[in-house]
Amino acid sequence: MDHLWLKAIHILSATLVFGTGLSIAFFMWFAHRTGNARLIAATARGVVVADAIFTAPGVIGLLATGFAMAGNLGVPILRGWLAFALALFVFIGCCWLPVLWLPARAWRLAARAAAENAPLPASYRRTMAWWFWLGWPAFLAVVAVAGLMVLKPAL
Amino acid sequence: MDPLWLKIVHVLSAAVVLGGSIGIGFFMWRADRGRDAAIVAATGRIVMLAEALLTAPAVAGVAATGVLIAGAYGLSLWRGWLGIAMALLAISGLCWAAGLWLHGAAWRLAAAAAGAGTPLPPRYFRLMRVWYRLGWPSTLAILGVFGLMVLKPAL
Repeated sequence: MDHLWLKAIHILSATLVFGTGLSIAFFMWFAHRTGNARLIAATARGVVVADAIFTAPGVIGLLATGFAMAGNLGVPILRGWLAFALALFVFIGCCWLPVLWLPARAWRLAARAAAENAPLPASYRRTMAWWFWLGWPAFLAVVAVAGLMVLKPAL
Repeated sequence: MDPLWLKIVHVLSAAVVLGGSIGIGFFMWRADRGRDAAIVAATGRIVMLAEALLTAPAVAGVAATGVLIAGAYGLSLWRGWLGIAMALLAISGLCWAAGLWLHGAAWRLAAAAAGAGTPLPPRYFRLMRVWYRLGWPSTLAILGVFGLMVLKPAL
């Protein structure tokens, strides 16, 4: 496929991962802040679905088009700035995989609290603390990867 | 500033405009499908926050860096592919402004229904139907702009 079309798909995939990912986190965070178990349960369930239908295809699209473009240009992927970007990508993946099941757990705990009209349990707070503190390094690493992709510094 | 540093901000802002809007539409759609006035009103409030704290700053970031980058390369904003991109952005901006108004009006109905414990009125769904319909041309126009920005065709 033409290189520029691959690049367009690459950027759209990055948009799903970064832009949609950021708004997913935004909705989860502001629902969490209300302390309303019913809203939290509904939103966390949406987060699980959104991760599956937006973020996961975005990650696959990024990798597929990224490897194809590197192949087209004959750029070795394990050298220079691209190697740094890939290392960061693996790091983001390690932060993101638990982020898949943490909202699923937050959803179950919040849904139970809502059904029993009980306060949100301590396990819910711990789950959200993990989600929050794994989200930040992943977010910053994504910004760093975008910077590397644009600047392509000689490393 | 080096145009490449501006480009990083430009690409990330554009990702938040398009990707963030996809997330906003997704969470609002899920809440509306549930027809629960309390969840709809609470989610609608987060949508307003997301428009103000994610979309609006990202639009400002795209516009500011875009004008600066065009200036750095001596490109006219009103000619060739960039002129078409500007026309598409105008369409998208009009849809977005209309969407803000529609959503504000719909949200007041949802908040009133949630406060009174009554079901969502038919007018709520009529307003939101137009909101979702406007999302399509707006999103397609932005997709077109992404394509133009990458391919930069001679027009």
